[in-house]
Amino acid sequence: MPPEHQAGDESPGPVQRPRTSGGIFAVPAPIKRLFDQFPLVTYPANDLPLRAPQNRDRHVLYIFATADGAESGAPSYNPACLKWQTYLKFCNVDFATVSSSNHASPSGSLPFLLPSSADISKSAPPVPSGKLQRWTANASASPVEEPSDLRYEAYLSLLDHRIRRAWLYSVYLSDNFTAIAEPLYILPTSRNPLVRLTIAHELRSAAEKELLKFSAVIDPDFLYAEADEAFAALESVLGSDKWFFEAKRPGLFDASVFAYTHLLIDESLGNGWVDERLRDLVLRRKGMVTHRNKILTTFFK
Amino acid sequence: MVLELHVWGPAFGLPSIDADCIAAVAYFHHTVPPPQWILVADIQTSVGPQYECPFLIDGNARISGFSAIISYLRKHPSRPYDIDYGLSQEQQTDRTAFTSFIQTTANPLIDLSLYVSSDNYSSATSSAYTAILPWYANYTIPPARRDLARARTAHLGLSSLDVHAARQDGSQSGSGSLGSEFEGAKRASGLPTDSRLTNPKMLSMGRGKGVQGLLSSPIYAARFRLDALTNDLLEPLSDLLGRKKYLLREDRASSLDCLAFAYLALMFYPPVPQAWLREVMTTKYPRITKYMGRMREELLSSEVVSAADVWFISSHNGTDAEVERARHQRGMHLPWRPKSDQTRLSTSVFAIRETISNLPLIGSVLQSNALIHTSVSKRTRKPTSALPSPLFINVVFTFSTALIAAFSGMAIHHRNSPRQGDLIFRALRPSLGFEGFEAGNILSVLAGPYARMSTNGV
Repeated sequence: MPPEHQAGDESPGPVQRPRTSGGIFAVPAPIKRLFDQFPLVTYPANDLPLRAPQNRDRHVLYIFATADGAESGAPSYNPACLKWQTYLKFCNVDFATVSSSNHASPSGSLPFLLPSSADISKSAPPVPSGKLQRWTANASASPVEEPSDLRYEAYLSLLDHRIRRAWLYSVYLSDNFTAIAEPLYILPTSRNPLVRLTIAHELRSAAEKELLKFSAVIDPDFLYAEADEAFAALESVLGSDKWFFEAKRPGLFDASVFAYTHLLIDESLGNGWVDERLRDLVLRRKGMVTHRNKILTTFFK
Repeated sequence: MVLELHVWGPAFGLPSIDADCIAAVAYFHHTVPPPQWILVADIQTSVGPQYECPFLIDGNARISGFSAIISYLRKHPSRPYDIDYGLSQEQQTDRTAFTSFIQTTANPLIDLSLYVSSDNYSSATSSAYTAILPWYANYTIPPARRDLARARTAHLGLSSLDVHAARQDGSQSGSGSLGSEFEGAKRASGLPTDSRLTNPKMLSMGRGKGVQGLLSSPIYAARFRLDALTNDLLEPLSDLLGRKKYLLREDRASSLDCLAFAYLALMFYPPVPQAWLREVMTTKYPRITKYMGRMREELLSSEVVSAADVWFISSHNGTDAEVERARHQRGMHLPWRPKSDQTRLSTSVFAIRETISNLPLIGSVLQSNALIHTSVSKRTRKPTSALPSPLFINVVFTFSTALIAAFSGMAIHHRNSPRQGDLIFRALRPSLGFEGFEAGNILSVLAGPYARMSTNGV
């Protein structure tokens, strides 16, 4: 009892003291008077910067492209971006393209898509490329159904590995680097020559590292031979059909093929091809050229 | 001319530890008659990886890689050995596609199972390498191959397999009480422990964490991903096999069968503790498992290759007849032969080279360029780069290095012989300005402007 009594006696002291002195956070009277002299002005909101997103009512796909190319919806110069750009067109999704770089992407790589939102205050989360197919299936009025062919995965691996590796070598490690990779990927990023040099070095060593994961040496003849076999296999599986795997409408596979064949056939890519070995491999396959031209004239007008 | 096939040494009862090498051995064993080819257990150095195993030596020609070897044999000048003879056009394109499919889908699985998973690596893979590598290479080659496997599977986000599970468990259970610390110390010093901590994984599984805790422990969380990856490979293969005897046709094996067998065998046979690949194969794809057993019988005569026997043959110094006799005594069907150039000198040179090339800094300097440049004959124009030229960069680099070296030299010199007495500024007459310019006397030149300024001020 006695200790409780003591505590009860002492507790009002420290609680009441700050109340009487106004506390340490209270504004002293002279300063308060000084600040009361100033009127409170609310400025009007600033205008949005010119580069701020203008069209929130459309889906926006962020891709590698030149500023003019993005405005007009021209094909991207990066295979991964072009693949999804083409696929969205196949699915009749209305979207705008914006030129961007890897640093802008939440996942660290392009492309990604910012879905439109009616309500500006809560914007939808960005869709990375890995989830674009599922997103398209929900967003599109007429989604493309992928053919359930058992060979689908196998032929896709030809594109994703053999042709991709040959592409990596051809664009980043061969003589094409100065003619294609430099004007497209390096020069737009910076004007500082040292920064440009660093980026060029990083790009080349990244491509080299990627290729060295799969073989101890990078042998262009072997890479091109593999790519040639892959193109031959793709041409023969296409046969005389209009689209791959006898589909009625072009699908993701056609988009993946087009992403490489279009860029390889496009003679004005960057400053033009210098090492044309990979390009010649495609040009020899008449079926692939026809397939590419069909998509280009139908969907990229 | 005898075809000489070089492969990684045998492991897990299979003729090689590498899938492409197994495929090449299976192809040769099935296609080329015995006296016309020999098999050499080789190791691939990290210095100058000019030829990657498997590689084929035929006279002066050297071909490396499974698909390159096959296409070379198909067009072999003396007698074409073509297992794929008679495939239709469609079957040939399917062969190309599925070859690439198996190589790219099965490789990550084997990487994860044999190299990335620390449990499996420490208990199965590293000991398998010990049996086929000379002692000095054990410190360099297996870790290098493991790093490569990690890099190849990094994009799958399954690095959670790569934890030292045993150590983690030990530290968790050892953090509790004094008694468990004592047990931990006993275990660390190699004494037998008598508590349940001797098998912490069995007992602490899911304990006190509930089902969710169990599922979120690394191996179980990864298990869902792993099963999905395995299905990605086995489902299309199972569809392709269907009710057929072989993957592509009914009556005869093809090169695709050799490759499929090699990868499936490395997924199935290694005695690993985390055997999720084998579990999925036996439970969900019995047809594939049966097919693999059949292929082993047909392509390799079901021979269980012993690493010790092969090691004995490859380090044999006797004549061909002696090697042949030793091979028959051990009942080895595959035509193993010793490495041709095995002198003590070359071995020690190799060991030293291997060691030096794995030292940090020095190794990166010595690393030979892995990029083969081929000249393009029809080059029409040389593109001009907008980037600064290498010459300019080298000049700038040399200049700045020289500058830094000069300054540090000055600093060291100054530190070794600090100035005695007071600092005195002297006004140098312009005509005498450069007479005092010596390496050690450079400070007086630096002091010059200040001195001149002070005289002007006065």
